[in-house]
Amino acid sequence: MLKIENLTKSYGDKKAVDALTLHIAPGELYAFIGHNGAGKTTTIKACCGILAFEEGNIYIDGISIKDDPLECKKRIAYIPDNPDLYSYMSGIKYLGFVADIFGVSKADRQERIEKYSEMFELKNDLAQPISSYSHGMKQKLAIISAWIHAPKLVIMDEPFVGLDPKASHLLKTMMRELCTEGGSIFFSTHILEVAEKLCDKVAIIKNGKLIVSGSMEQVKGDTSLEDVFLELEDDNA
Amino acid sequence: MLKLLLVQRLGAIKSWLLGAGRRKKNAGPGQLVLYALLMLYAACAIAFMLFASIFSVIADPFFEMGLGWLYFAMFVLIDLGLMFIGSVFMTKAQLFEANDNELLLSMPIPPADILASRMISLLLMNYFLDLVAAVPAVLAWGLAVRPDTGSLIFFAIVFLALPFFSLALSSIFGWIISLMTRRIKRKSLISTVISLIFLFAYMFGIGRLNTAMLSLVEKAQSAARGIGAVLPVYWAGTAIAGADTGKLLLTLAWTIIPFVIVYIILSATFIKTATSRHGFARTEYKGGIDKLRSGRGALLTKEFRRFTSSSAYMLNAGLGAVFMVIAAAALLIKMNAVRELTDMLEGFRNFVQPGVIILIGALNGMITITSPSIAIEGGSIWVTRSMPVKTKDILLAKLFVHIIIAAPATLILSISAAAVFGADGALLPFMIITPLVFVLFEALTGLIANIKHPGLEWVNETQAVKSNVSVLIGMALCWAAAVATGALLAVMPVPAAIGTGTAALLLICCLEYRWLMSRGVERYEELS
Repeated sequence: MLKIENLTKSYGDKKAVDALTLHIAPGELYAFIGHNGAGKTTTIKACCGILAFEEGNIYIDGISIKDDPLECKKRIAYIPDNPDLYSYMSGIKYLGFVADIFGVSKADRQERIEKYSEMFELKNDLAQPISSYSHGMKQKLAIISAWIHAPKLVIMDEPFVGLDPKASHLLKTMMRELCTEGGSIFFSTHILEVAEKLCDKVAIIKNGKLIVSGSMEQVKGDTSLEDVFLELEDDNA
Repeated sequence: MLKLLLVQRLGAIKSWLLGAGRRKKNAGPGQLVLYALLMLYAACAIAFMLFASIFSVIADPFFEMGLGWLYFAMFVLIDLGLMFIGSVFMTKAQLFEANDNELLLSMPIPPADILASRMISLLLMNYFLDLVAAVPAVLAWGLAVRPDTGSLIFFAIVFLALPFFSLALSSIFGWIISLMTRRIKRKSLISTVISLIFLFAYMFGIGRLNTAMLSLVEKAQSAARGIGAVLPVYWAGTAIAGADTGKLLLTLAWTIIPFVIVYIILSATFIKTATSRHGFARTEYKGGIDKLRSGRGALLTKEFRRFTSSSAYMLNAGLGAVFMVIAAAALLIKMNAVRELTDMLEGFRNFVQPGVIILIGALNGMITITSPSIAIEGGSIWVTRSMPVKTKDILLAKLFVHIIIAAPATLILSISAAAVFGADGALLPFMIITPLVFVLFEALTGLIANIKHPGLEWVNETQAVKSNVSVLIGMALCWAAAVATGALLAVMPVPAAIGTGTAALLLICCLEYRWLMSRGVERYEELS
């Protein structure tokens, strides 16, 4: 579903991501972890077609994001680390805008808005301007908007930040469901317990370079993901 | 601490003024000089309008009749009005709605220092506007009589004192507007209406003031004695005209004491004001969805919503369109008077129609909707960048909103002008086409300027729409195009000059469009 091949992205002389290669198959829930400034957000933005890169390629459902970014973007949903949404719109108008862009049918959008806004207890606030939303409410709205067009691949940057425990649990359930239905999830997180319990595979990145990747069992073995992460961080210091 | 805050504030102002991108290098000296020249150009244009329309007209008769104080009193009123109108919404945004208030208050910084740093930056803005009114006033004064040194010094002192009063006034009004608009549904509409009321009241006042002053000139000293005893502006006027120290002290008292009081009150209540949650009139969602739109339709609707959701955006970027419609109506209402006036221009009769065409074109410099259209996206620029939409469509939506608002207003004024001034066969098409080409030029130039100077990081949206350098570039280039078209009138026959100017501008528009759809798209895609 998502193939990152030899991705390299530099800011000036500094290589933010250095020859990164990762494959995420359909149905996989993939965690992407690393220290602050490791290159996670840069990788994620490149996968979403927001950030151009110098070397390598990224394929979504077999389509190169360099050659056909629009076709790739039709298949993905992106949730950034800080959901700066259109504060001048109401929640429902924002969802309508996203649905319009992705060409979601009337019946589908109505059903999904109803379903997810009730799940996240946001329905009563949908007519409110987004500028009146708390961080958590914006994050919930960003999640609903990501799911509104039934994407094949969801890419998220720190999706659990700002969510209350109930919303976090709901999101985890939705992530698992999407993967069960054949979709894929690629997300960054600093909450290693979540990654450990939820994900099929994990990749650890440091200073733009992939240190380790594979199934959760392969990576952590008999220890915890936290121990592995800290050990790898020290080894590569 | 205050110095540190001031450096940070001025640095932030410089950054958004120059429209620096997120990873862009700091502006070099060349850019700073260019920006300073653009600011000077805009200031000179406004100052010239004030100078030509008011001060140069009244200076001679007032000084001849020994009513110098009245001249300076008028300067004080015009100056205060200009500063108030020009800064009240920025004051509201900076003092009561800045999104870094909570961050700064969480640090070990005395609230009084935060407030002082904001007020000093606002004072600087007021001084800039102060200068815009003062320079033409001094020029007209110098041309009418030889100013004595004492009066010049007192003028300078009053000049320095007036922004304090203006800031006190705009702080109070900013606070009131902020309170009024907090719990209402159509916040931007109400803010826009309030601003328009302020603006039209000011313009109406200026118009009436001119008549009133001329009437005072006729009634001379007796009328002056009548109003002079009560108006603080009289103290300021006589302080300057007669180098009167007593009146100067009174002037300093009414300008500075209100500022001190406002500062003390705001300082004591700053934490509460800055951290009070902005309430909203609650609207319950009752189900249902908006009508379905195509991708392009959705982008266009989004841009319209962005424009109409912000009173600052509408007022700063779209007010020119309102003025054009008002001007069209005024032309038709005052048709006979206007015709009589143009009939008096014996030797210049042939230049009236081309002059009107160029003027309508130049007025488009006041409609700057595309200029801040990228800047105002701020942190939410990722939304459309992550969606399956062509960058071309994102940019075209911004262009269309500008054209949809500016073109009808321009067309209405062109038709009204054609009806009033008439146009012979050769000029008639240009009466419609040329101003519309200016609409296109301003839309494209503003958008290109904003792509080059995106300025996505701002503390409040008033900053993004008010003074991003792309606004000045769009405005300045539109006026420059009008001047260049006018210059052609000196070297070729009227229809040929207008035709050549229009064709050249259209060619520039084509080149701009080509750049926008190629390099412009690439530049926009680099913003994230």
